[in-house]
Amino acid sequence: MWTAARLALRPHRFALVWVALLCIAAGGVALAMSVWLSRFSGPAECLDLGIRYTQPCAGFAQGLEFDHEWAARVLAFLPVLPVVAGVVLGVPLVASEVEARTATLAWWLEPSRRRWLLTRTAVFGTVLALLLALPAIAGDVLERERIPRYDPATTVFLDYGSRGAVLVGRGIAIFSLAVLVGLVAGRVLPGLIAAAVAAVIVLAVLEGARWFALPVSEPVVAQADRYVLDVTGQQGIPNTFRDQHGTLYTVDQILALAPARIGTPTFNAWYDAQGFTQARYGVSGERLGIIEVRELIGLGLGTVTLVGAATWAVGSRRPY
Amino acid sequence: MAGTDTGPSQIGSALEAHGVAKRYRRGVQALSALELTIEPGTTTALVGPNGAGKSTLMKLWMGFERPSAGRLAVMGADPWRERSVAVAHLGYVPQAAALYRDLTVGDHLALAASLRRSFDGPYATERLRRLGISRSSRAGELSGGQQAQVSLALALGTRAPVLLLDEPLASLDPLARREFLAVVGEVVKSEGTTVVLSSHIITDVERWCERLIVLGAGRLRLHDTVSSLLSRHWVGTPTGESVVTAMQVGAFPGQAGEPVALWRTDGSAMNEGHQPATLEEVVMGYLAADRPDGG
Repeated sequence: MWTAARLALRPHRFALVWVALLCIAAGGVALAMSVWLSRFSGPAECLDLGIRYTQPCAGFAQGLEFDHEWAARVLAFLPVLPVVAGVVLGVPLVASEVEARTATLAWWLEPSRRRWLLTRTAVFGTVLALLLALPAIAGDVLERERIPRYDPATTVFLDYGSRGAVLVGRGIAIFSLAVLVGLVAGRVLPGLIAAAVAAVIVLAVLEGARWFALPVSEPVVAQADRYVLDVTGQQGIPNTFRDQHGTLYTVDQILALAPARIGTPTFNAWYDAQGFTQARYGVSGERLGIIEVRELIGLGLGTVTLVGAATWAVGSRRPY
Repeated sequence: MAGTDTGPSQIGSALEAHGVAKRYRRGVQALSALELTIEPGTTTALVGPNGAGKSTLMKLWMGFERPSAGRLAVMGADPWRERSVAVAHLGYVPQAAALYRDLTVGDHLALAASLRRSFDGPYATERLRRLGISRSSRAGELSGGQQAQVSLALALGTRAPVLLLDEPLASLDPLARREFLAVVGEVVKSEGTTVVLSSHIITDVERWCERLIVLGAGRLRLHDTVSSLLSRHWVGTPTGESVVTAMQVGAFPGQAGEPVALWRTDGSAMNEGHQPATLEEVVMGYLAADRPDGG
């Protein structure tokens, strides 16, 4: 087993080393940044991202702003890691073997191509998960230093996808997608391009589906701006209105109900009579765990489906 | 077609092809209505010009390609539908050695042992040691002949009852070809392995193989024992007409460019002006007959 794993990894050591260095560097920078931020002391609220330049935080906040900006940049880079690592490790898994014709050797020696594929997918997937765990943990640590009043691992949606188990789960799902793309393409470069595009589309779909069918909480801050909502551990749902009975409406729904065009006196009179108030409803930050688990389940099912599809496709793939 | 085995599926056949056709997506018809049975323990040379369908037939038996029509079998197992069963009976050496350039010879042996449970590592190692190929050498640093020998050692190490050698001699120098065939011959002699060697270098295989298959334009042109073919074919001046005891197969240019005709008899000798054909002349005669002008 170890021999098989070692020999499966070895021809791909360049990509592995490259991805490992990237993950270690990103995780290392995030950890270093969190250590840098942790050296500051002061009132807890002054360490919050929601600070404004008011006493007694003004001077302290100005000093911190620069570091927070850099921390934000590091955290903004971390969601790229699962895409890069998953695609770079996944596509060549089969495509480079087909391109170099070494798949011919492997597929006549191994009576079961499916076992061959599953073995190396499991080996590479495990290595990828271990490598992504470092930036995933470091991202959580850095976020905790940015917003010390809250636990970003359980209560804050801020920088969702930049940290924690979701980052690892996305990496594994994109990796399995890349394996399938590489298997079908049979060439590394076209496979890398196609898999990268597909991964971005998948992430965009995930982003849109995140709040799907999730019950919103009571309005937390009327007329609030999203910045505050994020920091207080809420994920705002924009453009939400509530009538005097507490029923929620979107802008489109209000426009559909209105007897006249927006901005006209008739509209304004009707709007006031309905008792509409603009409110920011949000998904409570305490639901972060639910959201993460839902996404991880979705990613897990997607991974199983993609690996299953690759396992099926490898049976009819030419080794050249 | 005299001497062609086209009978029904026989229990115990090593390799079979019945009504096999292969058409690639781009429209190339690589094989057509191929009927072929290869008995266990035989050594067969598969010859024909480029594009005759030799490699395609090998790849079909390996399960690398799916036939467009017909049925194939490796020790009774369909290589496409029962690939794992079929592949477990096969050892394979491709035309270009498919080795990992960065892995050592020892790594390849370890890889083979991890992929094929029946792989006999010490046996393969001993074969390579005799040829002076070190386990610590990187595959990418080996010569073409050495890479072919490593590929052969991997195939032999599987102890598979059937060996498919897909033009492994094409890129080898004469000495490497001779060494390669010597190893194959030794194994066949000692273990009774069924071997099919495709090649277009007929002089190399004629001393070694006991049966010959000629493919031309994707069709079976000839399948018989070498001794039978040599005893029944003669070359001489083309006349364009058959004589009482012989039939002209095809005409082709001789070594000096003169026209030469291949004649097939029922085994009886031909008169003066004709001489026994070499295996190369037999093959050329049948391939020439494929041409629109009949050679």
